[in-house]
Amino acid sequence: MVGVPGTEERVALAEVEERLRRVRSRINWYGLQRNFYISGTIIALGVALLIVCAFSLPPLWFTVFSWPVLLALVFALLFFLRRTVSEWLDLNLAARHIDTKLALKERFSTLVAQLTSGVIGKPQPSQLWPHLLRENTTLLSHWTTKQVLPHRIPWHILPFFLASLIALFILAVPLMSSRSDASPFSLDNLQQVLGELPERATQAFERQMSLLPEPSDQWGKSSLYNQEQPPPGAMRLEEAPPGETRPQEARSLASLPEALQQKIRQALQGLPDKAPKPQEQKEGTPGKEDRRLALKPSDKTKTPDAVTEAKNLPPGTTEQQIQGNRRGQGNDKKGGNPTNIGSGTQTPAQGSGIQQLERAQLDRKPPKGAFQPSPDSPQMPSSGGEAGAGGPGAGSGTDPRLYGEQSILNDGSKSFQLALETTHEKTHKGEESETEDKDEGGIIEKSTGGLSQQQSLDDTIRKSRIPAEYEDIVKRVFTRGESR
Amino acid sequence: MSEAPATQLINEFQETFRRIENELAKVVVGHGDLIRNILTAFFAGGHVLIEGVPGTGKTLIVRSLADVLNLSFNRIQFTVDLMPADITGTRMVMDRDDGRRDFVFVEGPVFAHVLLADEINRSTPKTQAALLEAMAEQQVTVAGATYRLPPPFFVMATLNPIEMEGTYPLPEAQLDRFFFKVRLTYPTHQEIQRIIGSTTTNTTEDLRPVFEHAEAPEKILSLRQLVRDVLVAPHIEEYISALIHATIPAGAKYLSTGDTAKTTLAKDDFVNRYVSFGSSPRGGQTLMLGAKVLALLDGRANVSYDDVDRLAVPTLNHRLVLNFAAEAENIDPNDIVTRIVQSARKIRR
Repeated sequence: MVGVPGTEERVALAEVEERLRRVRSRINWYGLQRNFYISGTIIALGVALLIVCAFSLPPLWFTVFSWPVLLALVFALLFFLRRTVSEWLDLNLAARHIDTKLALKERFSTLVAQLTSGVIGKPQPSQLWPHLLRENTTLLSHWTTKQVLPHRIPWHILPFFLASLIALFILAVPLMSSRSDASPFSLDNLQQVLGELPERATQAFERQMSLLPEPSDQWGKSSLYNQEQPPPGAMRLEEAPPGETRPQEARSLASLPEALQQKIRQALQGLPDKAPKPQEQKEGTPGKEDRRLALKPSDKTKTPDAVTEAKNLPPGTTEQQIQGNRRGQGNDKKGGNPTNIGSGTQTPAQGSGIQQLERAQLDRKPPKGAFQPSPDSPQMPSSGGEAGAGGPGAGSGTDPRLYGEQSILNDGSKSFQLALETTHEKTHKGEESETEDKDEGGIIEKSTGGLSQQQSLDDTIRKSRIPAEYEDIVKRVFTRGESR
Repeated sequence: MSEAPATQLINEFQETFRRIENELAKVVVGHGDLIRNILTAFFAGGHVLIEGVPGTGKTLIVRSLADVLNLSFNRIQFTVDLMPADITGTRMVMDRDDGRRDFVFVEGPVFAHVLLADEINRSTPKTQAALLEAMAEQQVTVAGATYRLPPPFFVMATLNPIEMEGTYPLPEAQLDRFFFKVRLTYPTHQEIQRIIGSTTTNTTEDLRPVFEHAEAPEKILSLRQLVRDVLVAPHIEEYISALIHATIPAGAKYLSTGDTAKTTLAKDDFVNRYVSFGSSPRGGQTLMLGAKVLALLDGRANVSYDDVDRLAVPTLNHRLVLNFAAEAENIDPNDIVTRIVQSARKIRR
């Protein structure tokens, strides 16, 4: 190496360069940390502020507020990123830092500037260059890197940690609440929500139904008509489509004591309840409640029901009228005669007051589609005819076959009248056909020969434990009956 | 590594400078800073303009300096009727030995190493301009012929701030050619006492020349060369440039629009209000050379920020052209430069 130009300078400058690079790396690391901590502090505080605002501000204000905050955070991040780049020291800047710290009067920086400009191995830039080199090498023994090195960790880490703790605390507050134990998007939570869905739907429906003016709607689906399955092919208007709340309401009504149910039935029908005949039970015929609505004129097994129902007619109803009803059914089967509609030939169909009330209740449901009754349905209007034409009173669309001949009905010594307007939509379970009852009201007239038992009914009601939601309804029904 | 010659050169410079200061201190009472500035300008190759009231020792300082340096010295008393030829010299018809007559150039007083232009503002601008070429180019042109002035050439002019009637203020171009403009203040009480005691007796202090007469010019030129060898870091150059640029008001004419300097100083409102024109680049050159002299005097081979700051006021004050508002409010250019220097400290790093 001896004789090679610049060898002496390189040897002399080895220590200078080593110290310079060490100082430079430490200063750069310090600056990087400092800017990181400062920007981190600002971002942590900003995030904490956003979280607080998210829980405290309305969505609109949070949106309005969050955008400037986010922009400020982005600006701060970019600012400190740019500052980090601009503060990144090269060798000259590091030498100037050393000069400032040690008051070397720019000796070191001048030397480094000459070195970086490539003075080594070239003709000396000045006759004073050796003096500058000697000065700096001599001064190396007067200072150490510790004098000029910054701290390993800047003090900015303290506010950074503090801000981070604040942000984490604020972030953890909503996470630690009991309602947030499970993730709202987890599979378990989804299953739970799906399991609660029917119940919530029921509650929502009940809340909605409670807003209706007539609480008697609750009677639209009595459990009296759900105790037995209808025969195949028979249409049950009282059967609610799946997913609706009527079966549940019927079940609630079924929870009433049996005695109360019988009393209610008697009060509404005006006749004492009769137990089904043993012969009917043996034949496996459906219950009388089903028979009242699901009669088929062609079904031989159900023809006695007409006679049975005829017993519920008011006094004075003749056998001929009953047979007239049968003919009316036969005409319906043949295509329907509009003249028969409203002639009161279907007396058995209106024998039960509960049945009429139930029909009125079902009719309150808004229609969802066209009703397609079976040919033997008592609600089926005859072709060319107009349902309810000539009907007795308010029910302009009411099939008079349901309620019998008006004149016959008026023969009763004691009767009351309920005017209800309702529509109903139902779907047979297991069948894809959708039926709709378009009766929009009607007049229910019924002999109230059983009103002599009013006192005993009241006693029964008082003694019975009636659910709160049905107590008013029962009382209202009886009040109406008494007023009549 | 040849350390000894460089160090010896610096030591020699320091020793020469201190010897000159000590010799001048024998006859000039006080004014230590003024003498240092004058010597700084001398070794930097510049000229000095001294402003002071009469009787404060301006002429004494210059004459003593020439004696100490063992250089030729001339003095020109500028008056209204002084002609340029009276300064530069003229061609005269002279009889030759063979009887023929010929034009011969007769050198004027400008042909000297040290020239004292006393009360330079009393001559006409034409005469003042005759000195411009000599100061800037160190040559004179007479009748189409150019004559080099003997180096080293050093002009020290004086201004009488009083008795302004019949005076011609120096044009800005001529002011810019002076390295420093120093202000000679009244001596202190003790200094006056010393002046009175030392100059009113028969005993006079003998000045010992620092150099031999024959070798003095070469010695001085070598020292001037040494001054220019002082190393300067780029950030010092940047700093000086920022200082010079800071003296230029924001709304000044002829301002460059394509300035992309990284290190710039914000325009001081003081500058914008009171300065019409800032310093020229020659001011930066002067500042750099003066800082190099100070670095050598400090034994360093490099210029520092402090060297620049120390010379900023005498270097830049006469290069600022103040406006009417400054004249009306009696604003001193030294204050403006001082403010600029103070504001420039923040760009140090």
